[in-house]
Amino acid sequence: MKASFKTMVALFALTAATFTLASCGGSGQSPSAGEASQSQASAEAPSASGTPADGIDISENVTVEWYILGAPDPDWDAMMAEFNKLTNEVLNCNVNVTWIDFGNFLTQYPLLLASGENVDLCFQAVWMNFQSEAAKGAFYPIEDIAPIYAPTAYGWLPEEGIKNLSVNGRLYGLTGDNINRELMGYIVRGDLMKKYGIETIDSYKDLENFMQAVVDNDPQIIPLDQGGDGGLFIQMPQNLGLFSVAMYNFPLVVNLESEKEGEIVNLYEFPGTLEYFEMMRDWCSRGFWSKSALSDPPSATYRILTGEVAVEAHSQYSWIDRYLVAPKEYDLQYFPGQPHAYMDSYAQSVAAIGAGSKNPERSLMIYEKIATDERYFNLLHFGIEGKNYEFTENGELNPLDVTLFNPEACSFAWMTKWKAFERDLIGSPPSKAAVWSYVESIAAPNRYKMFSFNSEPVKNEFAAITNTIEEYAKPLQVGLVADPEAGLKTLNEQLYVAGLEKVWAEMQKQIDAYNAEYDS
Amino acid sequence: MRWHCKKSGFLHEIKKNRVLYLMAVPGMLVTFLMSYIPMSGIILAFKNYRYDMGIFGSPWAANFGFDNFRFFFISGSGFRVSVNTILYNLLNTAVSQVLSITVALLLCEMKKKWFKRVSQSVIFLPYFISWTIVGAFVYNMFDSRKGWFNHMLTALGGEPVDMYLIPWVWVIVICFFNAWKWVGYGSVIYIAAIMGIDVECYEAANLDGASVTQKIRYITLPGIKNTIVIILLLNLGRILRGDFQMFYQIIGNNGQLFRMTDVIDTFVFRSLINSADLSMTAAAAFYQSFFCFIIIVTVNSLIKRFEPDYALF
Repeated sequence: MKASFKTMVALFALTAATFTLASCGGSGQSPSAGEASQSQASAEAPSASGTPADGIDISENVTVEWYILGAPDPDWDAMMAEFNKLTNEVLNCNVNVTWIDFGNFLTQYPLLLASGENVDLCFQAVWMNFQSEAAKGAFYPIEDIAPIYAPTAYGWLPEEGIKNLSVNGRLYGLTGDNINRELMGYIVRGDLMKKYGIETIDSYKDLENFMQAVVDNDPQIIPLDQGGDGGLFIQMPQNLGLFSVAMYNFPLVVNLESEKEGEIVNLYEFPGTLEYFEMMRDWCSRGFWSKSALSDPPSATYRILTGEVAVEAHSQYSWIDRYLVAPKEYDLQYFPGQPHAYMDSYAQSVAAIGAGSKNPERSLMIYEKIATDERYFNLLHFGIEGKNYEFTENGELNPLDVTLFNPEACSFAWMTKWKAFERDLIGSPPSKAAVWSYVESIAAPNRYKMFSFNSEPVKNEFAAITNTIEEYAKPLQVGLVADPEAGLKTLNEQLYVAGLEKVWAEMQKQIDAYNAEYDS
Repeated sequence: MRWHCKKSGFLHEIKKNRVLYLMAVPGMLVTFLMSYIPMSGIILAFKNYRYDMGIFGSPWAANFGFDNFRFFFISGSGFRVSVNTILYNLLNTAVSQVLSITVALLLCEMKKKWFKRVSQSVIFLPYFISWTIVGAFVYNMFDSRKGWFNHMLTALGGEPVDMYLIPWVWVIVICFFNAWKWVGYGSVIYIAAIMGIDVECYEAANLDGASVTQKIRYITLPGIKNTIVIILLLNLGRILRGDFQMFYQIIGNNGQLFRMTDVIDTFVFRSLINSADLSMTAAAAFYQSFFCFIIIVTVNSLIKRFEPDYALF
């Protein structure tokens, strides 16, 4: 995923939104609580009269509106035409998909949800504030209708999953049964490694040697993609035995190795952080990345694909994604950079129904079809058979032209990943199996993956801290501060001024409550 | 223009100028619909907005409704960015207005028509270039590795400079690009004002043997003084609003430079991007509007006191 923050017009959009909203608020476009419960009552009606299997009324032809993240591939429309033929035949409806691009989701999604627009299904995720949006009433509760209209898609969810997708006791989303174990690491140019005679990258030291070799031998290449979106820092807390439960660089993290279960500590005061920042300072001054890294404009494509950089710090899934479209001679390799692979939250990718939805039932029925009928699944994920893909004899997926339809890049895969229908890709890297089994070998449970911090009670302090991070922590992350020790001291001072202690207490309170419930 | 009517003359006045008023109706309607009705949304700044309850149904925020404003002040950044915003607006207004007036004067003195037209178009052109593109220009100039500025320095035998680590440079960069983008647009207004000056004044001056500079000083500048004051007043009305596009596209999220380049709009954007709280955004917008309102009313009443002819209202 590219949860990048290359946001363009957000403030204007948001302020404009307040006015747009103001003008339509009076006319009652936002569904009020009363309306929501009414439509819910009517949603329950068919279940009372008919059996789930055949008694569902689909006599009216409708178009359901789906919103997903990303940008469509060129063959998307052709595929959708086929898909709609299927849904029309069986469910008497069409699906209309609207894409929201990655650069704008943080601004456009809240607007879309706040507007009370007819959203029958949308991609949601914990990193898109699923829980807090749900708490604000953005979604349609489905605990009553999901078992009827999507029995398989709902039925597989373990109790933990249902808890994870619920807010205040109401279920607001579904997800596929193939949950990722994202493991951050290094995606590296294999051809360069061979050229410099470097076999593996197992530690910061190896990485440092490789990057120095790039600087020495290929000065036109930037060794590491270290933009403002996280870069290497995303994996840093875990390497100190810490775990982030808010943004990746939020100061408050859970100390997994503490004797006290669920102890919250300040990442920026934790032993090891200063050494890390000093190393970043050293690396930056040796030219491992651009000194204007924080102002690098967001690039249209991943910089490792264009040969601009030699290493990208991201997950094994991103590696497969890049590998399939990168020039073959790059021979991209992946090396894990974290000690443990935790299972993602069930809310990592969620199919949620908007509060303003007109056809929640039909939408769930299509979602169910994708989970149970391979024809639907294959179309959405792989495209049209014979045109976009074919299966090899042993059942591997052979995408015929990834520039027309890329099965790995499609965002549908995120909320509709079903183990039964997943296929191995034919042009996948030879080392994929080895990496996957390694990830399994270091798989570990982590209860805090399912925890989501609700910043609402301390929203002012949270906002002030967010700003402090941008101003003082990011320059440290990419080694732009000449004196990291003094920089770190200033950062911590500013964090306390911004109200760190208050957020700390609130987070500890929420974690303790979460643990009490978890252990009971 | 002022109308001195008796109290009972209101209806009479409307009747007398009914065509004029009729012509004003569409404009008034649009203003009412687009500016006055949405103003009720200000209430959002004092609420904990919930989508399902609507704007008026949402519960009030804590601290008598002022809770949404707190993030702005707790870290002390609110004061700093307010000061930055005001200083930038003063600087940008001064620079771009002086340049606009100069350009307008020069264009009006040009004798060759085709040259005048071409120059005007060239100066106007930047107005149509979006800040996103300008941001890309700036990056390609000052990027520490590939920027042409550093290439030029090294080619001339100097040491490369990391512009992205030196905050004060960006005050100049921002001021320069702001002027570059707006001068053409601003000059059009002044050209129109100059065209409105009675030609006979210039003819009389010519007969008296006035030089070009004398004509500018004693005829043109006094003639456009009114326009200058109005433009300055209008700019004062926006003094707490930072041009978000400009600051964001040129500076981005570069914390190293915030000390001297952060304005209210970028600060609010950055603080709230991870929480997407509409109420807090509304609170920030309200803060800006409120103080802009106070400033413009104060300045206008001062002007009214000393130079009544130049007051806006």
